[in-house]
Amino acid sequence: MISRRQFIKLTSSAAGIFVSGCQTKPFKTTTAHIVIIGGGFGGATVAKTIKKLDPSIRVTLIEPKSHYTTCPGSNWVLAGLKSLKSLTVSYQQLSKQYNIKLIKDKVTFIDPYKRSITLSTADKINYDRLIVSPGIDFRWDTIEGHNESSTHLIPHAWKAGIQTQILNKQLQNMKNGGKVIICAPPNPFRCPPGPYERASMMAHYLKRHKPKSKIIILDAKTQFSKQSLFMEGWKKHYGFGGSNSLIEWHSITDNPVVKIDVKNKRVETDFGDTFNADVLNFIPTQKAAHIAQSSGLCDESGWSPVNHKTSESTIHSNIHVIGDASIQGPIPKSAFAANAEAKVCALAVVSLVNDIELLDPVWINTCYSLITADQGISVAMVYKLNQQGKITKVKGAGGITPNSKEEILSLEANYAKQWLTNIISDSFK
Amino acid sequence: MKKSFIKTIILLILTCTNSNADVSGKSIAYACYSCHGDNLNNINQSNTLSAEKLENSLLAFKTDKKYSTIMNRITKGFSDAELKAVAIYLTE
Repeated sequence: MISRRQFIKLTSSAAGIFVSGCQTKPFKTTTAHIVIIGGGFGGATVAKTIKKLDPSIRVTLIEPKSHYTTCPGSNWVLAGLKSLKSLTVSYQQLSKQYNIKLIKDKVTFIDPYKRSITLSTADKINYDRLIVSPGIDFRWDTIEGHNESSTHLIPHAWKAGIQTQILNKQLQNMKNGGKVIICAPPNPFRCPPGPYERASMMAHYLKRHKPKSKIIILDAKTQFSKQSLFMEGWKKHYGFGGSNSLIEWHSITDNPVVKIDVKNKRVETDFGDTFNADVLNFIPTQKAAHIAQSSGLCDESGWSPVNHKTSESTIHSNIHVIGDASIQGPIPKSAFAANAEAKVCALAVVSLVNDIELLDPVWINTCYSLITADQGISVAMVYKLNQQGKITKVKGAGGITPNSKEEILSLEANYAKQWLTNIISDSFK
Repeated sequence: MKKSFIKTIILLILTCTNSNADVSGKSIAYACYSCHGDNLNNINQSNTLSAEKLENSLLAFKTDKKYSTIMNRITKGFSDAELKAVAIYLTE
């Protein structure tokens, strides 16, 4: 027995296939093969969603790691609220439950003309459509004296896992009265509220264990995400603005960090000002990850331009780019956004391979941050396409936590924790 | 001449309205899953939520008759028809 609604759904989609089938090809003869590069929030979600929408499509997910450690929640490790283990998921469940072929390898080359990718083993795989969700890489060319090879001493901790562990260990080994410097990157970068939540979580730890210490944020920007809410929280909990504040924030937009003395954990700015740290957390300027660059999927900005309705690259057809690597502003680069972009991409790809009409897309993004263990804040937005086919904020929607009463911020903290559990499940399970 | 002009205008209005058309319940539902999980496990534990009840609840958030930290901000991004459509999609 099928419900009225199921009946309408079935008949309307059958009619859709029939009508569009008349226009182009009469039968869907072969099974489409979708290949996905990258198993972060974007890649895992798009793999799962395609299989949920149309189990007949063959989906292959290529990811070099066997496990993924989520960036969301990784700042909470610094406050002792989470273990890295609790943020780590395997791909086995995703692969088994949704019949997704998993290849543990790295893609070295994309041939958009032959529609094939090459793995590090030199094996080639053909695709009908390719979805690239590779995340970010860092621009080391802007800094003298520091690069990938010294990140074991100066961690960025902007990809969660070993880097988070290094930063956490350094914080725990620091003396009471020590100085932490966080260098916050210029826009655009992954997780706009991240550096400020990190300062909050470090302060939460230091307040209890090493109260004479100080966190200094040197910021490449003049303003930052949820600034008013962060500063209000810092004032209330960490003495922000006073002489004994645990957190100081300095904008150094016109005088950026240009040099790092790795051995002495000293940063130097363009005008020659120097700052010494006991723990130096330098978060570099960012760009789309290497494979997007080397495949010619990026423009001069270092990020990948895409058609906002389908997330198909405007440079190479049949290749879609989602997540942090893609240009989908005004949507920020976040795990939540990558998950939302993955769903829009999956709905579009399933329509495209089945030759049925595209649905109008919609995106929701909410960025939660913790100020203390049980006080949280958020910023949210709903996005739709405008008449020009560009992503735009829906007027009247979204915004920051409506008021900063303790009970509201306590609810926000609870929702932040629930959200993390739910989005990990929605993306990876 | 006049008639065809009016026709063109009507057609133009229809086309514009069409490109501003409501987003489908399906597209919205997938966006909801990011927070609520794909079984809506945290709002429909007993699986007894009706489309009407959910729609009324979403409309109450949108018009601030019901308070929440986040749902008021999210529901304001959707037309009443879109909230109805997603309520139906999520409960069928």
